[in-house]
Parts: sequence; C-alpha cells; structure tokens
Amino acid sequence: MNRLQSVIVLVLLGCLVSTLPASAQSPFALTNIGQRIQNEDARMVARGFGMTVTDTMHPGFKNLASLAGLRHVAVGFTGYGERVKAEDSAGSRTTYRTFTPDLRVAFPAMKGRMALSAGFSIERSTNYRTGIDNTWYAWDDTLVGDERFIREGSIFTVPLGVAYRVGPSLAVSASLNLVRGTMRESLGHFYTEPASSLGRPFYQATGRVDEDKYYGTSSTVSFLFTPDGGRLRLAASYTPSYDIRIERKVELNGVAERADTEHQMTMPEALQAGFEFGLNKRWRVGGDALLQRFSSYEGREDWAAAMEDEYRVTAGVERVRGTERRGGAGNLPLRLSGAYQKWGYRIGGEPVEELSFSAGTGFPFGHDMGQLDVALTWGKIGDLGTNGLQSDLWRVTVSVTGLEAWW
Amino acid sequence: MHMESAYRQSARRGRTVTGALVCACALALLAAACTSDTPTELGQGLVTTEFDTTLALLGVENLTQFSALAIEDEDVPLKNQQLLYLGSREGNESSILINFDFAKLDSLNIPPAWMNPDSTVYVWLRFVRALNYDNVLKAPADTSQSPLMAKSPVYFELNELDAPFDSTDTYPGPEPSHSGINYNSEHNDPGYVGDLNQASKIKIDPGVFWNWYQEGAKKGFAVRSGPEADTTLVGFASREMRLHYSELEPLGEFVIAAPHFIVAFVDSLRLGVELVDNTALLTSYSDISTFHEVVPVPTDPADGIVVRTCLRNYPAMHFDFSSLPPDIYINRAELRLHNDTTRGFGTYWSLVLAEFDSLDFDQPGGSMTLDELDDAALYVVTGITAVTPQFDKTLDFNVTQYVQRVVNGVYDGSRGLLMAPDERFFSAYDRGAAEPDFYFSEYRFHGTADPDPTLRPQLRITYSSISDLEGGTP
Repeated sequence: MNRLQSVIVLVLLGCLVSTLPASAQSPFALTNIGQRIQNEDARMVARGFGMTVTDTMHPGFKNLASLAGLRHVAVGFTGYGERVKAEDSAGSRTTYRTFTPDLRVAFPAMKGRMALSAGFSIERSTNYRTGIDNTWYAWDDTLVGDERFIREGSIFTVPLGVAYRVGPSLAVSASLNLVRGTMRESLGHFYTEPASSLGRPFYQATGRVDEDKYYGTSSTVSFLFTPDGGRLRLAASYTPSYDIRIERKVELNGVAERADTEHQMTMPEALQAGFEFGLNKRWRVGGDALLQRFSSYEGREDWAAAMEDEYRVTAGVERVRGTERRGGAGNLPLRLSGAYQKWGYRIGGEPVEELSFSAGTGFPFGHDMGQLDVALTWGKIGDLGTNGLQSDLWRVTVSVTGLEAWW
Repeated sequence: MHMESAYRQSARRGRTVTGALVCACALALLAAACTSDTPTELGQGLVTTEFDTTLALLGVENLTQFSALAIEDEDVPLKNQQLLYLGSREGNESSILINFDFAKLDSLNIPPAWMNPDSTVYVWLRFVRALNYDNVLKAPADTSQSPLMAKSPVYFELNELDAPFDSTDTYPGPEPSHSGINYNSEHNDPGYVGDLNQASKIKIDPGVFWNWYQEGAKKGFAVRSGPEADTTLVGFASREMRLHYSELEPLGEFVIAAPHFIVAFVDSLRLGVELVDNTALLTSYSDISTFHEVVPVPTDPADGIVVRTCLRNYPAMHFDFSSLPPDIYINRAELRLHNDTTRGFGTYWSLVLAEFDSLDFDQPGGSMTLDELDDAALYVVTGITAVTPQFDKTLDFNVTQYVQRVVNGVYDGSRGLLMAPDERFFSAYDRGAAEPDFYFSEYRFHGTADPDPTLRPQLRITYSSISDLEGGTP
C-alpha cells in the first residue's frame, strides 16, 4: 500500500472504532471480566485453526511464529458485525454491533528469516446496557422514571513481537504485550416526572460511574513446527501469569469528592496449541485449543468467586484455494468449523458454554498481494434453563490482509 | 515500457486493495448504524452496581444566621423616587409633601389683569396616579370567592405647611407641622380612581390660590389620606417620574405627570378659544413621601420573614447544614416558604434567591447600599417570577445547585441565601421597567416559630449517596 492508501485505511478504521459506543453485545458480558473476544481473522474463524499458518503471502497473526518467513510488509485487520438475540425470563432483546478487534502490521527484518510485528488486539470486551421503568417516592411526590445501567469497555493488548525461523521446519517467536484497557459501569436513575411545564424534571437524575483502568505487561512465546515439510504442522504458545494494576475511580455525578483507589489482579497463565494436517493437495483439517486457568485468578473477590478455568476448542476443515485455469468458484477456498468454549466465569451459578459453527471463504488480491476473507458464524451462548440467560448470535467476520514490498 | 507496465500493475493492485478495504469498512459502518431494541430489564439480574441511598429525605428548619437587611440606593434616595405614596396599609402610612414656587407664575407671562378670582374659572391641584393603582384588590363579600380587582376612590386632604419642607431632611420621617388651610375631599372632587388620565384633582378656591401668590414665593403642602381613606397605599407620579409609558396611562395633551396646579382663565373663554389653550401649569419644585409610619421588619426569623420593596428590606439567611451527610448528591433541594396572603400587599415581583457571603449579614438588622448588595449577591441560585403578595401562598424555591455547592465545599467561606425582588443586577429575572424602589410591596412569610409547624420555612432536601466515596479526594 502506498501512503495515501494507508491514510484512507486509518481514517476508515477510526470511523469504525468511533461507532463502538453505540454497540451492544451479549448480556453475559454484564459481569466479571467480560467476554473473550474473537480476534482471529476470518480465515481462522471459518476453518477453526490458526496457530499453524505458514503462508507468508497470507500471513496469520494468531501465532507470531507464523510471520518468520515473511518477505513483504503485511498489514491486516479484522472486523465483524453481529446480531445477538438474548433471552431471559424478562423477555428477549436483539442487539447489533460492529467491532474491530484486531489490527496488525509485520515487517520482514530479515526476509524469509526474521520479522517484527506490532498491532492492537482486543482480548476482552463488555458492552451492554439495561433499562427498567421504576417509581420512587419523595416528600409528597411520586417520581416516575427509569433505571439505566451501562457496562462498557475492553482489555486490549499491544503485542510487540519478533519471529525467527530457526530452521526449515521450526520457527519461534516472542512478544511483549502491553496490556491496557478501561471498563466503565454507569448506573443512572432518571426521574422524568414530576416535571415543569417545559418538561424539565423537578428531581435531578442520580448517576454513578465506576471506572477501572488497566495497566499491565505480559509476554508470550510460541513456536511453529512443520516436521514433514508442511503436511503436518504443530504449534503452541504460552503466556505466563501476569499482573494487571487497576486504577479505580468511583464518582457520584455532581459530587466533588471521588474515590480513587488502586489494586491489582493476577491474570492466570494462558496456553494455546494447534495442529493442521494436509489430507491431500487441497484439503486440510486442524484445530486449536486454548486454556486459561481462571480458577487461579487473584484480584476482585466477587469476580474470583464466580471464576473457573476457561477453555476453547475449535476444529475444522479447509479446502484451500485452487489454481485451476478457468476453475471459477471451484478455485475458491471453502472452510467449515465448529467451536466449543467454556467461559471463565459462571452465570446463575452454572458454567457458561458457548457453541458455534462457522463457514467462510476468501478472495485473493491481484498477484497474491493480500486477501479478503469472510466468515459467517452462528453461535449459542449459555442456556436459558441452566444460566437463566441465553444468547443466539449471527456474526459476519471480514478480514483484509495486504502485502507490500517496502524495501 | 517495462517500467511503465510494472507501474500500472502496481497501481492496479493498490486500487484493488484499497477498494476492498473501503468496502469492508463501509459495510462495517452500515452495520454500526443498525439500531438495537430499546434496553430492557433483560440482564438486570447481573447488575451489582447500586446506590447505597436513593432519594433520602432531610428537612432543615434551623437557621444559624439571619438578617433583615435594610438596603439603601444612594443613587435614588427617597426624595428622588418616581412615585409619591399616600395612604396606609398594614401599619405603614405615608403622606405626600410638595413645595411650589409661586414666583414661577411670573415666568408664564400671565397678564397681571388675569391674576384674580374674577378672571379665573378654576384652580386644581392635580396628581397622576400610577396605572398599577387604577384597580385595587378588594375582598369580596363572599369570602369563598377570589379577591376582586375593583376601582377604589381615594380620599385625601390638603394642608398648607407652616413652611416649605426641607428636602434635605431625612425621610422616612414625621410630617412637618401645618396650620394652614385644610381642604378635604368632602369639599372637593374626591379624585375618583379611573377618572380622566388617572388625574386626581383637588379643587382650590381661586381666591386662596391668588392669596398664596401674593403672600410669598414658596409654599409647602401636605397631602394626607382622608378619614374615609381606603386601607391602601396609592402611588402618584412624582416630579422624578420617567416611566411615563410603562407605568402610567397615556397622558393627555398639556398634562404633566408631576404634581401641579392647573389654572384656567375666564378671558380665554371670552375669546372663544379652547380652554386648554388658556391654562397655566405650576409644577412642584420638590416632593417626597413621608412614610411617617413604617412597621419594622422582624429581625428574628421566629417572628416572620419579610421582603419589602420601595423602602427596601431584604432577608438573608443561613441554614444549619450540620445534619447534611458528606459527599451526597442532591436530587432536589427546595426552600419552602409560606406567604401570609392576608397581610401581604402591593404589586407582584419576581423573587430571587442569591448566594450571599455569610460574613455580609452577621447583624440581625444590618444595612447596606444597593451597590454593596450587588457586590455581595454573588450568584443567583433561582427565582420565581410574578409572585403576588396577596395570592401566592406557598413558594418553593429550587436551591438544588446551592446545596450541592455547600456539600462540595466549593467556597472557602460559608454562603447563605439572600431573598430579593428583581433588582437590576439579577438580569435573568429583571423583566419589568420598574425597579424595586418604584412600587411598595410587602411579602410576609411565616416565621420559624409559627404556631403551625407546617407553615414554618423549611429546606426540603432529597439526596442520594454511595459509600465508596468515603475517604475520597476532590
């Protein structure tokens, strides 16, 4: 991409990110540490495995070791739009939102041997609001209004990584991840009646804001192993336990006094692994797994009491892109996968299970200098009978990867 | 050629990538514009954030400071006020003093042959009543009905003073001594309210008038309310009147607002000329209201709280906030005052509450100038427009922001509240042309020791709080 194209992309991404406050997600994200965000690219979502990517013309960022053989500057971003229908005993609600959880860039420091990468990746997010009509009484007045609660924010990382090809079949990587984020909970009581003839309420709305800001640093090491020239690929990454410092600010709107406190939470170690196996020239199967032992989480006691180990398993199949002359749609890649995830915290005293199925394809740019991938996912989070809450979602994921030779 | 071809290919690739990115972002933006269902109670069970206290009630009745401030406008002393007050109301009484310089008649080029009773058709002493007093509130016979706006006669008597009054004397004060001719309304036109141009007239014997002219250049007169006078204070235009167009009915030709004698001559009729073309006007050279009886306003809030205009008395008060918890959010705070409509009188004003440094009113009955008040009234908290002393019983002033500032400790010192009508420096509430020195009104609010507890002043506070703020920092 030239400079103008880069500017256009950045402006559009800025616009996209600016729309986030209007969005909403599953009510399961209303509590605890929030929902783990799907930040893999659309190709990995659709086929169910991403740790074992070795294609340097279509690089993957899930395992930074995949970037070791890079020969061009690679830029990639992933965004998705989703529709979530949530249900509980109070009824159902449908929400929509778009999200851009991942933006990455990688540079070949030594072409084909070593690459540096940086980026922005959202790990967890929470964004949901509730509203309920209410009536209060004060003096001789009957107050009519509503209670509104908003929980929003995210924990994201800025991974600064290096990948190195040790030999023809082994690449390794290491990254330092700056962990940052904010989570804000806003509770408001709005008293619309009684009001003046101009509609100005007699009683001023009450609002409190609890805002946590996260500061931490983690590190990740990973490898990618291709023992037989590419038919079987194995990969894994490990992120040791790390601390996050939390600066908490509690405000009651209109009151000068505010509470600023600071505490710490210890995030448990995270382990990811993946494999991929080529069945024949065009068909591959594979899977990824993630485990993060939130049972060893230390920090907020109310969160810790509801936490348990989080794991996610995905598996799928891919028919890779064909190169047949006039092959038409037969040359398009096809991807199918299924995923199972158990969330890191319980809702209603029971574990939250998430099941999803995805399908997708991709479209290469000219001269293979990038790719546009799409994935369609249907999923179900929780169970109305078990958790008292359930979400069904449809999600369209779009990823763009561009390559350019800068030197 | 090869270079050019490579460049074109590169440009085409670039356009393809950019096009794909633009499409992806456009799709995402379109999706972002989708609307969600209105938030509902779905998920409410997961919300753990809450307020510790919501809409708690606190009534504050005790005052730690109170002052009935007497305000003096140095720019407009009583002798320069635009209205002259006659009559009595709720113990307040006033007469009108007027001085005339009869030598001024010489400057009117009246033929000497006309200066005698035979050449004079009539002589009137005329006043112009303020429009506000055209109709006066009257209590109906049936007390269940609302008060009526009705025309009311004004009875008065005229006394010649022993000497012209000295306008440099301090007024309000006692009437000067008088022993001269006493004209009363039984012998004269009663000056019925609503007559032509609101001009109240006292018929003067032409012989007496020309004797005054012969006796000396300057004479003083006292206009007093007559024995049949209605219990009301009526304002007439003084020689300082400037608000002709807003506070007086349009005056007829050759009619002036200040108190004046009007002399009509016989000769003019003989000439067949219009009467008004042959009259002479003699205008007072000084005038003043005596306010010889003024009821002191209570300096103890237990006895009541009074707001008085014209002779400005404004109360300042500071409530006892010791029962107010720290770090609370004020949902509403209102100062509730009960107005004794049976004792209040006068025209309506806006009543304004302004923050007032408590150091400025440490005396129960302090005084200050209007300019000092302007400096001391730091911040207008709220106000209520068009408060009629005879009608509006319960006044609720929204002082939410004031109490919140007290909670937040915004100021170094403590701030009380000043209650005043719409002075010029309360620009948001200063709607009318007349300043508070113009009309005499009194609001009498029940005091803090009123036998009926429900009528006492009360600061009604509704607040919310969260315990997390304890020990916090501003």
